[in-house]
Amino acid sequence: MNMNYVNKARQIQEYYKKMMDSRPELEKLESDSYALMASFLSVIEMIQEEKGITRKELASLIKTSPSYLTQVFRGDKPLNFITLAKIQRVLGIRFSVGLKQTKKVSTTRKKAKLEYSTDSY
Amino acid sequence: MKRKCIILERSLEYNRAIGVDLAAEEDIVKTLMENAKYRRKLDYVFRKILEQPNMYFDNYKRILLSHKEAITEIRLFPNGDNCRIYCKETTLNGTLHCIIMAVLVEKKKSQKINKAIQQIINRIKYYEYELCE
Repeated sequence: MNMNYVNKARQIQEYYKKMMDSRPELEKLESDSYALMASFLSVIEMIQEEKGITRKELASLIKTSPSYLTQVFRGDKPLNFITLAKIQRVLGIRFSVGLKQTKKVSTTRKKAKLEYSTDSY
Repeated sequence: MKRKCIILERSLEYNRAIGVDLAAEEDIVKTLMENAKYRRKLDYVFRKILEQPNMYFDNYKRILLSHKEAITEIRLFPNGDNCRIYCKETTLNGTLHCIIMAVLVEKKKSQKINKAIQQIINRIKYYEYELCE
C-alpha cells in the first residue's frame, strides 16, 4: 500500500488517541458513567421490545414525560436510580450487579470472586 | 478502486470496530474531536455500539439494508444541532464487522431523507473499503 496512505492513517490514529487521552478527567468519568447507564438502557430496550411496550407507554407507566426518557436514551441526560427503580417495577424485572475486572488492584483478599455475569435480568 | 479506511476503536467483546473513511477524516474526526459537545456525544455512541449487544438505538440507526452491507447514520443532535454521520457497515479482511464513518452532515435540516441526503446514501451504497494499516 502507498506509504502516503499509511502515514496519513497513522497520523489520524495518533491524533484520535491523543484527543481521547487528553480529555479532562471529569469528561472521562462522565464517559464511564454514561457507558454504565447504557448497559441498563440496553436491557430496558430489549425488554420493551419483548413486551411490546413503546417509549411513550413506558413514560406513562412511570409517570414521566416521553421527552425525558428520549433524552436519557440519547445520552443527553443521566438516568437516575429512582427512574431505574420505577422502570424495574413496571417492567417486572430485577437488575443484578455484575463485575468485570479491567485491571489488577491490590487487595487484602487474595481470591476475590470477580467473574460474575453481566446478565441484568 | 477501493476506498481506504482506518480503524479508530475496536470492541473488546464483539467482532465490531469503528473506522473512518480516509478521504473524509478531516471533516469527520477533526471537526468532531475538537468540539467538546460533539466529542462527548460521539464517545457515548461509540461506547454503546462497541460495548452493548444490540448496537442500534436512538443515536445509531440503519437507513438502508442490503444482503451484506448497510448504510447507517450516527445522530449526534446535542442541544438542538441535527448533526449526522452517514456510515457504511461492512466486513473488512473477511471477518471484522466495521462501521465506517463516510460523510458528515453538520446541520441536517429536515427529519425526512431529502434529495441531498438521498444522494449521499446512493454514493455511499457503492463505496467499497479496504483497511489501511
